[in-house]
Amino acid sequence: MRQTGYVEKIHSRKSLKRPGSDLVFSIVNAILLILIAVCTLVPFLDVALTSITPTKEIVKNAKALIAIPKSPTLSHYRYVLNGNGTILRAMGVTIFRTVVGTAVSLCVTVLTAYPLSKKFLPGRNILMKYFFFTMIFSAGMIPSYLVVKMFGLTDSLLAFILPNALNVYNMIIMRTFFLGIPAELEESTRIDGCGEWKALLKVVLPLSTPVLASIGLFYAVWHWNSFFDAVLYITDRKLWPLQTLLREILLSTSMSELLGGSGSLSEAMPPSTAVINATIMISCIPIMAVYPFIQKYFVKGIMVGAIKG
Amino acid sequence: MKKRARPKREGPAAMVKMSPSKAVRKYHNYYLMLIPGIVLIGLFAYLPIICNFIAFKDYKIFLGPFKSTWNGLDNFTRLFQGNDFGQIFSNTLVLGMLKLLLGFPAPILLALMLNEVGNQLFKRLVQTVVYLPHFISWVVIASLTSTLLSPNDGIINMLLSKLGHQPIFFMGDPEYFRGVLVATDIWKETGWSAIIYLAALSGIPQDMYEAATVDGAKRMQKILFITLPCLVPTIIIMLLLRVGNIINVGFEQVFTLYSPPVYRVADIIDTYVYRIGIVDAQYGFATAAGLFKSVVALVLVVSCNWITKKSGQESLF
Repeated sequence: MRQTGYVEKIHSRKSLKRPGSDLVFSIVNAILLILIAVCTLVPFLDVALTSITPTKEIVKNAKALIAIPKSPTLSHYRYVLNGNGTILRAMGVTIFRTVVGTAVSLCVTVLTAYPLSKKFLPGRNILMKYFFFTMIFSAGMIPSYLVVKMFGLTDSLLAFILPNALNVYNMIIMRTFFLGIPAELEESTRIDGCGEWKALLKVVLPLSTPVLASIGLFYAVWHWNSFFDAVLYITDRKLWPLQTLLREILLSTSMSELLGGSGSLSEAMPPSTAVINATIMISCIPIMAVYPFIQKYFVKGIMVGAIKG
Repeated sequence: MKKRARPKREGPAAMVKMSPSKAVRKYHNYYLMLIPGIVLIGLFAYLPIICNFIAFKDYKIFLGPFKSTWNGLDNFTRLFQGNDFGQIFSNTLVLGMLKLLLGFPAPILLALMLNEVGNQLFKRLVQTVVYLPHFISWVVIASLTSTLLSPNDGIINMLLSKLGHQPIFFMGDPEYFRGVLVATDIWKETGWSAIIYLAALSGIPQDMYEAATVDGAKRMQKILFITLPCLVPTIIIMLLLRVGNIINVGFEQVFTLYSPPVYRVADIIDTYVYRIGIVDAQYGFATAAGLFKSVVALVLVVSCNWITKKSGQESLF
């Protein structure tokens, strides 16, 4: 380790001594990367700034590229959250489906991936093919809709949780991880007289926290972001998650219709863009707030998946 | 894998192929664990696949899937002879190819650029930022896009007007809308797709670069003659995966971004199925369109995989 560090140091010193093309290359590269990062962030910044700009300033700033509010305000957020509870309820639905849906999915994924990681299990290859085929052949929107309807799951929260409970891709990632756990570790529990369930709970799962975190987060983000299953399966707006409601708000020209409160109309109504932006921020903030800290788990998850077993 | 090559610890009995009943008795706990997954996939993946038979029926809602009358290939002939389908199929292919052409090289380029950064903190910072859009829903991104591209007060149009250009209504102009789709796709996924290339790059042995430095290679030469060739196997696999998925253009993206004025250039098979099936409730006909897409997708994926296998690369299945 130390030696490679030393070698690198020599190299960097060399390139510093020769200020020609190498340095120019590094600077151009860094500038381009900064530009890319800025382009990624500008849309978010734009929305975030508008959402805290007072109504008066928005009108005044209409012709500025990016305007930093002089007196930032949270009034738009207050307006959205006080509404008549529509957005709060939608948020509740989203939180419910994210928590329960992730828990269910994680359990099913572990229970499926673990036996399939046992190379001696008879029928393992056929079962893998059974799961894998659904990855390359999709049933299509209409038959899926009809099946969910047939089971009476429309207008039920179960429609969010059951149809996509097991993501085969995530299952394969987890199985690949389980394959890497040495069989000898489980062997010891079997000698102690523990069954397969105990081996899974006491030995395998404690060793698998990184992959459990990754896959759990993949499921959680998926649940948090999905909007289309509600469009398909839910006609009762009370059961809509935040993303679906947000889409409806963005489509409808006026907010008043959705937020419904006839009282709120008589009060000075903020311009809809600011309110919409506040709603967007509310739907993104949870992900953006935790994302930098959990990023490494996502990356780990995709890395395990890349090294296929 | 040879079926008989089982670990010795299973005893001599395991060397012989086990009868199903014996296997179930011996490993019943493992099979029990598999039941929830098997049942869920059976009910919500295979049952819908079977339900595709209504593509061959004149589906009447009040009759249901079983009592509706069979009508052979009528739905398919109506689909292929109809006015819309040619346009929709070509939209799907054109969008898929545009995304492939422009969206595929982007993460490779980004990974190469990130790989050349010496300062680890800066590298990690850029990575954190560019991965972020992957985790934002298309609903939010669609609204960010329409805000940015608004002809009245969007940043892009303000920049254009500063350059003395007339404002462009990107979201409603068939001439620009495909560009919007490709650009938002690149914006959202380039960072995340670069991860796989970065992983491949971290596996390149350092001594190759050291040897090249001794030989007096310039930085660009090292990228072109060491880094890039080392990436080729990964690039080929990713390319074939992408080509196999070319027909999956991204339903959620188009669905959240498009509007009637741009249907002509942006309506893809999935959105068409949604409108004909869910909105107009022509279940049989829409299922026929969806089934056609699923079959084409399957053929594409299987043939791409076959090519990968033939070329001696590690294949998907």
